Amino acid sequence: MKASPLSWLQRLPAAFATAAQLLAPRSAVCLLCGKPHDSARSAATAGQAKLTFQLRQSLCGACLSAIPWLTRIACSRCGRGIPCDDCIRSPQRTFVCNRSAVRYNPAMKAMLALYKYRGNEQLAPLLGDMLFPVFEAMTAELPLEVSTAAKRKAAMRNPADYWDAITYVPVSTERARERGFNQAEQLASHLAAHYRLPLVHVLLRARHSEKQSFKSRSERMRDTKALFSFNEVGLNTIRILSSASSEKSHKVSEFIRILLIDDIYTTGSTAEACAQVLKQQAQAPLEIYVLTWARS
Amino acid sequence: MKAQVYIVELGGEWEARLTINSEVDKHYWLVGSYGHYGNLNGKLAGTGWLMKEELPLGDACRVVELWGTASKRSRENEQGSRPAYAGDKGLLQAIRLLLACSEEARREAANVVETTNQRWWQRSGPRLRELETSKESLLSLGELWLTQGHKARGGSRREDQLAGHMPGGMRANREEAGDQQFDRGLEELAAWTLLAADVMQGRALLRSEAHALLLRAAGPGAAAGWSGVLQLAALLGRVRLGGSVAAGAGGRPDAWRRRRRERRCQRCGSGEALLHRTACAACGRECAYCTACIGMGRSRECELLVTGQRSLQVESRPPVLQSSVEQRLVKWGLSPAQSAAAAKALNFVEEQAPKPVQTNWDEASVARDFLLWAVTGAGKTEMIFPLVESVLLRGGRALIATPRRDVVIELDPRIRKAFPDASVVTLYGGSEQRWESGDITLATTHQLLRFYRGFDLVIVDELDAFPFVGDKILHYAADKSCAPGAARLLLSATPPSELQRAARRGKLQHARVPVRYHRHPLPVPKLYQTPTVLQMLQQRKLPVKLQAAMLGSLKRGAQLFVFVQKIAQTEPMAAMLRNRLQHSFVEATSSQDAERTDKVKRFRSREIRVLVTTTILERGVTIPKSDVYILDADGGLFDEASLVQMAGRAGRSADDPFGQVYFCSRERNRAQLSAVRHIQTMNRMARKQGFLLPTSKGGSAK
Ligand SMILES: [Zn+2]
Ligand SMILES: [Zn+2]
Ligand SMILES: [Zn+2]
Ligand SMILES: [Zn+2]
Repeated sequence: MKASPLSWLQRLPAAFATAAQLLAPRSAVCLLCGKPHDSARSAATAGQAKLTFQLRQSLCGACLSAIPWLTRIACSRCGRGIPCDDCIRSPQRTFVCNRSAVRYNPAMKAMLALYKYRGNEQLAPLLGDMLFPVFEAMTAELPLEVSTAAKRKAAMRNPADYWDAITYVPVSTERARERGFNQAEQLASHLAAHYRLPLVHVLLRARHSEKQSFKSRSERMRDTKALFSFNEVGLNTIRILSSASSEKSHKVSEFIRILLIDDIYTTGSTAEACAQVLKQQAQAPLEIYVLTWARS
Repeated sequence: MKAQVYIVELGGEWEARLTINSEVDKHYWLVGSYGHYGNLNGKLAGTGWLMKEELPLGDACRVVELWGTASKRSRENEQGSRPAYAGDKGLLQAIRLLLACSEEARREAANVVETTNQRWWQRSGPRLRELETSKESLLSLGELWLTQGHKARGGSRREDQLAGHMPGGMRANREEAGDQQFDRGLEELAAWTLLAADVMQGRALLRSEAHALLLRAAGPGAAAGWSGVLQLAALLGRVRLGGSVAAGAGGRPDAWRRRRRERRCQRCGSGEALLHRTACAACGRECAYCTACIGMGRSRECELLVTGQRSLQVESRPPVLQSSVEQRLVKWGLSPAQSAAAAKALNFVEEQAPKPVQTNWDEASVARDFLLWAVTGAGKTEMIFPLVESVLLRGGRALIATPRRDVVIELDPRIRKAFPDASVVTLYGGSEQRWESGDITLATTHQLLRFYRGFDLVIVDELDAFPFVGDKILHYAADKSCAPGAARLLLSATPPSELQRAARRGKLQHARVPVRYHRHPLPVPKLYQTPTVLQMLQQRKLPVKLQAAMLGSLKRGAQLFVFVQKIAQTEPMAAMLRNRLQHSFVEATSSQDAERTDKVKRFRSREIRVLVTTTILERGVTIPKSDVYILDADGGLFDEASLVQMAGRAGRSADDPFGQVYFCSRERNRAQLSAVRHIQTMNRMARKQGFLLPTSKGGSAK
């Protein structure tokens, strides 16, 4: 009789503590680079105090400090870090403005690819957490209204008072089936849950669009129109939800303030198409803001 | 993805099945002929019924499983008295059972646990109770399949519409397209299927991988009709379709006597702890995916895993092997020690006739293990050549797996040169030969995840090296890749103690190669008492003895490996050595060094003379004339195996067989003494067995 291969294979780890195992406490492995990390140390790094515990826990110091936060904004319309042609060329936008959490550099590209294409959904809460600082900054930027100005001075703004609903850029049914999830929806739902804002499913994606990157700018603009349609139930939900709350900073009868979430903002055509559908169909004044995870 | 379930009546018995393309099943069971491929189904069905609703793939698999259990139990209960399954009554009974099974699968998925004594297949869910009275409403939940003889009764001409669902872009029914074109569609499907079944043999692929393989092997038509192709292959028993994450057989009852069905990644073997559940848009329910093997594509509950059945069989000793083991070994030009070990291994590989091809997918297949314990520099690659040859001569496939990608790439030309007539496939992340099959497969251990009982000889190189050691996934993969009865050869210079013990006790067949190919003994390490590296760096002092030894090494023209424990110490140590040795060609490298490959190259070319490093370079890098200095040799990171491996860097070439090895530490610990003993034992064994060159002295003195 000989030893079953399975039995020794399973006991190997105990018998042989390798260098790597000794160096790495097994639980603390960076979700991005896979390298072991010391969460206590990375937590102490200056400038990262604002980040959520979950972010600091899940990523190593090197990956955390490599995040290109978009804090200095050059274009107040699209939230870009440098002045941009797109906003000069088409100054008329249906949405008020866009803000993004990070610059879409190669590291962020890789991170999004891990999540969106590889399907590592464990990253969803991290990407979601990364939206919090920019969402709060965006809320603070909202125009003052006389009636609430005094209140605002007194206390920190509660974002829930300023937004009526959160929604997201939808994906087509085929795409959802293939990928198993919609990244924009997951980000939106993460944000909504954290700030206790209603998440509404207002938009539908009509058909599968080809890869955007192979098209010219004008082609892209044309294609995205008629791409989205409208879910009446969703908007009714917004009306009901916002009228029920008396704590809002603005009067819902005047307008409904909606935050539209997507993963990346490139030319803004997707956000524009969504905003147009929303505005046309809503039969109620809407104020649409766009929040994206990355600005390319 | 989603799938459907159906039942077919085969000789008075009902059977439940899963399908990802129901039209293919319908034709297979009711007609079964495929143009000039003739009849591929020897057992046609009388009647069938397809449940309309699409179920999450995992649920559909479970329905078929539950059906099996239920019909087995009801057969046992009704001992001999066969249920009246004939006619309408039988059909309705079978439909009810199928619906009950699907209800149960749904309940399980929603985490309602089954209690062991409840006979769920006899109780009907709320939905079923309503239906019980009405035959019409029951039938309306699905699609009835009737053979042509029954046509009048069922009024079904559906099989005529088959052509519209066949791959090949035919969108017309039989009447419009004509018999010829219809048959051509079926022929095409059969041709693709047989081809697909061949190329999928011994593989375990996710849907996207199977798609890529189909595209490569059978072209875009086959890839577009992937679901039909895979479904027919499954009907023919050539592939198995299932969820990539699924509950394994034999769930354990928990404290409440409820049966807990634990999910497992069917590809890498990871259990619940490494599964992550999310809401899934692909199947419309909570669905778990495997985080452990996500780097190789996402394995999840509703993701299809296609497993290909091997059909070829290795012969034990056909006439080609009538030449003796000794005769066959001659051509490889092995040293006496290599020959002796290779002969033993060869006898082991050939001693047992492989088991016949198994039809039962779930039967455990245990490989036969052989340990080849060969010292560093023994020339193990040459020793595996005759083994690979033996398997190829008998029509089998060989796999050589090694943990590191650079070793795979380095081995590739050597294998191709040794076997010019064999097809060699080299697999690693990003390899271009990803979808090719060959006589010899060279792969990093991770690639084994994509195989299932594919190889008759599996050679696992450096099984004690990181990342292989301690990685359960890789062990699972190494087990899974062996065909039933395959021989598995484990190669190591420093086998885990567990294996050493098994070998000593005669529980594991093995051969030892105690001498290097150049037939000189292994350099025995000298033990120097020195301060710790930390002290050396703080006091900026290199011990006189150590400095003298290093200068001596440099003077005799050797390359110096300097091993330290910590990555952070590599650079400061290099800086100090540069200063103390008055030598500028000192560099440091570690796992964190982006320029590692380049530095190793410069070390090889003698541009760098002294390389300060960590255990990352304990294996693999072979430099002809080199001396080895291990600092803090008593540190926790250096165990016996690692010390033996590092010492194994010295004296590798025949031109300079007596390299120097120094263990420098404050204390002599057990690991150091064991390592020295290990090396001395090998040398003694080599001398005793007459493997050493007659001129050779006994290695460097202690
Ligand atoms: Zn990291
Ligand atoms: Zn702009
Ligand atoms: Zn897995
Ligand atoms: Zn799913």
